[in-house]
Amino acid sequence: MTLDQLLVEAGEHLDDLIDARRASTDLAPVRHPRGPRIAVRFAAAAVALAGVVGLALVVGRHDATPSSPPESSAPTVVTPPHVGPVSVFDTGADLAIFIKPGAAQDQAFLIQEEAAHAVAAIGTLTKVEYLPTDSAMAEARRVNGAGAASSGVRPESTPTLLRISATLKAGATFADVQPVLLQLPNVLTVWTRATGAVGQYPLCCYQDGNAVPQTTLAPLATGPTDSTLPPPVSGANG
Amino acid sequence: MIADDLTEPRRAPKDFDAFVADGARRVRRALVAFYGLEIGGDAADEAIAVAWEKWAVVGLTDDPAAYVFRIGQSKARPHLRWRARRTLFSDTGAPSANVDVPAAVDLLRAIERLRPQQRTAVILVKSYGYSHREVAALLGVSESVVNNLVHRGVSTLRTLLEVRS
Repeated sequence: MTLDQLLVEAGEHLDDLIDARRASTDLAPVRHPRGPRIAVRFAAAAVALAGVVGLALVVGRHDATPSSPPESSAPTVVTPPHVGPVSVFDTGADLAIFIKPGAAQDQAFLIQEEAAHAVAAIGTLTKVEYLPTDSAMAEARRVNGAGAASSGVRPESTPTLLRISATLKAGATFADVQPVLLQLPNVLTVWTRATGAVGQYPLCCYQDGNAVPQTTLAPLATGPTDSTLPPPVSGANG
Repeated sequence: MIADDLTEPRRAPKDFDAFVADGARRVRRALVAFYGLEIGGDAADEAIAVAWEKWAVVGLTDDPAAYVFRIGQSKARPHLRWRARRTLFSDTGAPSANVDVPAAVDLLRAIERLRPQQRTAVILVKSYGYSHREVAALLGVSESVVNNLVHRGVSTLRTLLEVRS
């Protein structure tokens, strides 16, 4: 028998085997070796799930804990707000001019021009900052701390604040311009860093539409570093 | 059975029943030749089931048998991973009518040693009488490649059988 004949016979035999197998599998469901595949898929899914959960935990923990500054950076002292002495000068200003509540805005601008002119005579202006009522109220709450809301921090009793910074000439002080500024109309009071470095917002000087004597200003426990300095001078019109 | 396959002109099936009568048998034989009785048979069952489910698409292809053969290959591939020892055809000595079973089993054992594509080409062309063109369409190769596969496969079989005898 030739190889070709043998191959034809092998084909017939293979057909018989196929038919026999189909007949046997018709009676019973075909079983596929899927067990290991399913197990591996479960394992892969479990590993992926654990990875996702782990990543979420790591990210959550990272977000929850504030990042510490690098060790190499210079140590910095951070004072939380409303802790310790707070001053109207802690923004770096040298001169604080409080304008009467209710004064017209053009009056405030006039005072600003006069103050800038006066300070320019004894030094070089570096910053002139005008705080309108809203900002001045926020400043009053910040300086006066808790309870400020019930101690007169209202639009009608909050002075407008004018902050000025300058580099003074040798021998000059902000006290030199203080009397001039106090003579300006609608100026409530004028503080300098030297005389009122730490002080409350002078709400007490003008409350409920009435002027309050300067002497009623409550001294702070943590007052100026130089206790011998005179108290802030009240304005002539205040 | 074989004579019918050899003499009847094959045409593109018009409907699924026509495919089952003609193309499905070709696909089953090819998959069994490629992967063996067990894996190839299961893959053929699954592929034909997919073809029935998606016949609206499969029926539009130029050669649905070749398309379903590809499906069968995809179905068979995962099974191969978990079979350390693949048994193809040689583990059964079931009786067959008008066939010298020992000689056929002996030949099938030799065929198992051929490469899958070579084995499939030899079985489809030499045992079942399919044309080179049909086998080329099924395997996705050119007719000359099929010719080479058959020629080299038969040569290898000759060598194997001579050594064995």
